[in-house]
Amino acid sequence: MVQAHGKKRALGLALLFWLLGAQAAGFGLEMTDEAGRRVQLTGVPSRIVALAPSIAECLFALGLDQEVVGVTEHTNFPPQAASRPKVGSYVHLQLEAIVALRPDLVLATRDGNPREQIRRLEELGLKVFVLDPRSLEGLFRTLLCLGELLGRQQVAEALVSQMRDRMEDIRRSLENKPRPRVLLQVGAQPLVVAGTDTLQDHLIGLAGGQNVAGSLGKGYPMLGLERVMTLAPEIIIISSMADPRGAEQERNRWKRWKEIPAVKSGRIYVLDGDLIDRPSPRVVEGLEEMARVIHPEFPGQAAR
Amino acid sequence: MEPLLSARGVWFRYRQEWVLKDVSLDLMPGEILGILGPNASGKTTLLGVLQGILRPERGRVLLQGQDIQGMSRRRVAKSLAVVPQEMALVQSFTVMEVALMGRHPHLGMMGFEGVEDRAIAIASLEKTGCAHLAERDINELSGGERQRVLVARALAQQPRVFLLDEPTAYLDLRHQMELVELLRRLHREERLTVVWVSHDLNLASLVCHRLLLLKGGKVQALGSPQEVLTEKTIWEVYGARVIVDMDPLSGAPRITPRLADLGRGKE
Amino acid sequence: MWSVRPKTVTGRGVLAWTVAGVLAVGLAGILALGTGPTPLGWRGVLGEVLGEKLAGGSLDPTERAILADIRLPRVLLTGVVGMGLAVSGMVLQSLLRNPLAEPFVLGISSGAALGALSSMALGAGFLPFTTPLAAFLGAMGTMALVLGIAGGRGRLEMTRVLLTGVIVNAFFTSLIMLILSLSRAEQLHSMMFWLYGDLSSARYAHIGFVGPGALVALAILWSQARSLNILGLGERTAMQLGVEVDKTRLLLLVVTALLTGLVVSVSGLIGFVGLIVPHLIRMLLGPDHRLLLPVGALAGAAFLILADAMARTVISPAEIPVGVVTAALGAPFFILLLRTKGARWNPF
Repeated sequence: MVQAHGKKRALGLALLFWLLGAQAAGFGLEMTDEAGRRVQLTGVPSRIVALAPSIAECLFALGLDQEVVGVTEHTNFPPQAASRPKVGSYVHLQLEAIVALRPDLVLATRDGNPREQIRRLEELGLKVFVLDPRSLEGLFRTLLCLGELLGRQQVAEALVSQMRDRMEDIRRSLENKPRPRVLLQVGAQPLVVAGTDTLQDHLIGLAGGQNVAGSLGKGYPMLGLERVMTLAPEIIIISSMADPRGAEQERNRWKRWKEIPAVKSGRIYVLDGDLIDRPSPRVVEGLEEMARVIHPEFPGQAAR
Repeated sequence: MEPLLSARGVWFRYRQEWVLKDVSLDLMPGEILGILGPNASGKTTLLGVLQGILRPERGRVLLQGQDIQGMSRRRVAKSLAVVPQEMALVQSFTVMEVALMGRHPHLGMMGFEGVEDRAIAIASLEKTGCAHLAERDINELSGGERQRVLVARALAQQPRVFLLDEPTAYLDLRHQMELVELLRRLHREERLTVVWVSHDLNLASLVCHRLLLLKGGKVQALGSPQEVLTEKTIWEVYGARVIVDMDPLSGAPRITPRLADLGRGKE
Repeated sequence: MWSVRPKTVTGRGVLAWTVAGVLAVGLAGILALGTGPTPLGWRGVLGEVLGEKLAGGSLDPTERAILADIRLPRVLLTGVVGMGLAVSGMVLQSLLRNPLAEPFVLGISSGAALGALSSMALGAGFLPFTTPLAAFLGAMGTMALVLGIAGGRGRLEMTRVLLTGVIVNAFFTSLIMLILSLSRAEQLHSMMFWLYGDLSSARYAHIGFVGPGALVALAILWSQARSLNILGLGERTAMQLGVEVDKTRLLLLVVTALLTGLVVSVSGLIGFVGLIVPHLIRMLLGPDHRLLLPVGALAGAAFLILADAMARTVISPAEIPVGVVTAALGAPFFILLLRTKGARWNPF
């Protein structure tokens, strides 16, 4: 099953590349980014600014290091990335800082970076390439795209292939098990959960769970406590996001509501938000952790 | 001679009740016309109508032959200046600045007063004896001094008609006299035409050429002080018993209140 | 206090003070241009303006790009905004005879915010001018609403205008809170920055949008300066001196609202400038608006330019919203003012 899928995927991607108008690698590369714009590069970029932590992680996973000259706040992995100059937060960029780094390529996200500021960067003469790694497929596409852009196609393809394989393995080993009802919380006060069409939703599915917030719609809907009671999740996963202590507090707050199955059975878990919220290669680790909490018999180190 | 300011059959009310009923008067050039009457007789309202600030429901007010309601405020201000009872505390304008404000109706859209305007303002201050106060903050002056500055401002407007709204009301005796003497002098020298609303019968009698007596919004009497200020008329209008004799110096009627228990001395 | 209140104001006096004001703005501008995450230094900036030899410093191409494309439009726009806020505040304080009045007291700000946030919430931020335009329309709509309600029965009383403005403000603020509570996280950030006042995306197009209108508004307001002086003496006196009170007040209100709406649409809600600068200038120079308006405009520009420079550097490379700096400077000043002047203080 995996092999057939893999072949189909490879063909599909080749077609995609052809449709995207990718020229032969090397000098004079022109690609269309996720915002539909054509971006031309005259050489392999050597000074790159990444406008989101996820993008920075992808770059380092593809083997770049010195080429990454600027990152946004909260970029914390790998450690080398964390030490690069900061250019503001990804929702409010410091235009001056970006310009001062003299990048030959700026990598932005379609959702998150303010469009007005992206426009300004282009007006200031910088090359901006917009990516959209919002779902799993988006992530794979982003990695392959970056590979193409930066002359690391083979590394990218290998990485993607490896990620797909591992995720497929996990999915297969759990697909016949009963699927517990899972609620994944990404925000507190107000309570925000992961709905369909999100990275977290895909991970829950692959990890052998059933996202109870699926009926609430796409994206990240807000939820009231009553609704949680009706949804009766058997497992609550809290994403640590930027504040691990806050996440622990959230877990304690849930303990009051003993009517919720997850609380009664004590199955409330805090997972590292960097692994499950951020579309980066470490999403595989996140999947493994999630699989372990949803199906404790899954081999590997148990989560708290 | 044409009257400078006339009221023709003016009727005015704020709400339901009429405050002015069929009031007519003519102000001739060079005369001082006094308007008298008890409280709530409509004096203040009449003054508002004569300025064109209040609009009569019936009748008209003519300023130099033209209906005042059809005139812009600027046009009115060029011909008619008002000296109010007092000046509330305001921002720290200098005396000179206040006097210069009198030039506003004559100035164009933007900009500042010209050389001539400043000369007129200074002259007005000199005529009212305030020139030495020119750079002082208006709020620091005494009541009497402030009144004189208000007269100077009115003079700076170079109007044809002056309306004085009980200008001595808040002044002590000396300053009352000073103000009256000033106004009489100005009237002589500048040929001012004045409407003087007053509560002080004797002062009005001394100063005014003609008097208009209001009661309940109607004109009770209009004529010279001798004609208007009789014991009978005063009883009808004010409901007060008085003795009217003649001031030996001026020849003007002099009113003395006749207390009910006079003759019994002070016990 | 420490007033240098000139003797009776003359045309020459105004010119002299205006020149001084322009110099102050120039200095503030050069200082601000040299300030930021990338230190350019005032020498470098002067070098660009006057030539390398005169100033003893210059910039490399990257720095020059930063200066010309990022900092210069920002400083210019900040100047215009500061000017607009200071002048609006001054006129409103005099019109309403209230020392607490400032440009946002009539609800213009919340109307603009409603327009801007609605536009952001609907995802209209993809076109460069949708948000400022929506903000401006929101401001103008609010002005029409407030004047319509307050002037409903004949004459326009200032007290009624003030009260209506306060109520409309409160109502729109609740709508703004509604929008904020329903917004996604990413949108929320942009919205908050707009509300706090944010000049970081300044571009020359914004200056083109706001500049001419602001200058025209300033000219109109200045032309009414003498009438504004006289209005301070009371309604009746003003009428007696030839001022068309109702028409003048309406004109002043409308033009002020337009000016406020214009600057707020590109800068968000920057508070305290329109409250503090007028008082400062009034204390320094007396009550004549022919002097106060131009000097106040320039003082507002210089003040905000410096505040914005501070906002860029205090926690560099991150930025704090400029409204935080103006509040941090303005609130203590106002408290000091109240304490020295006493509880009964009302300069009107």
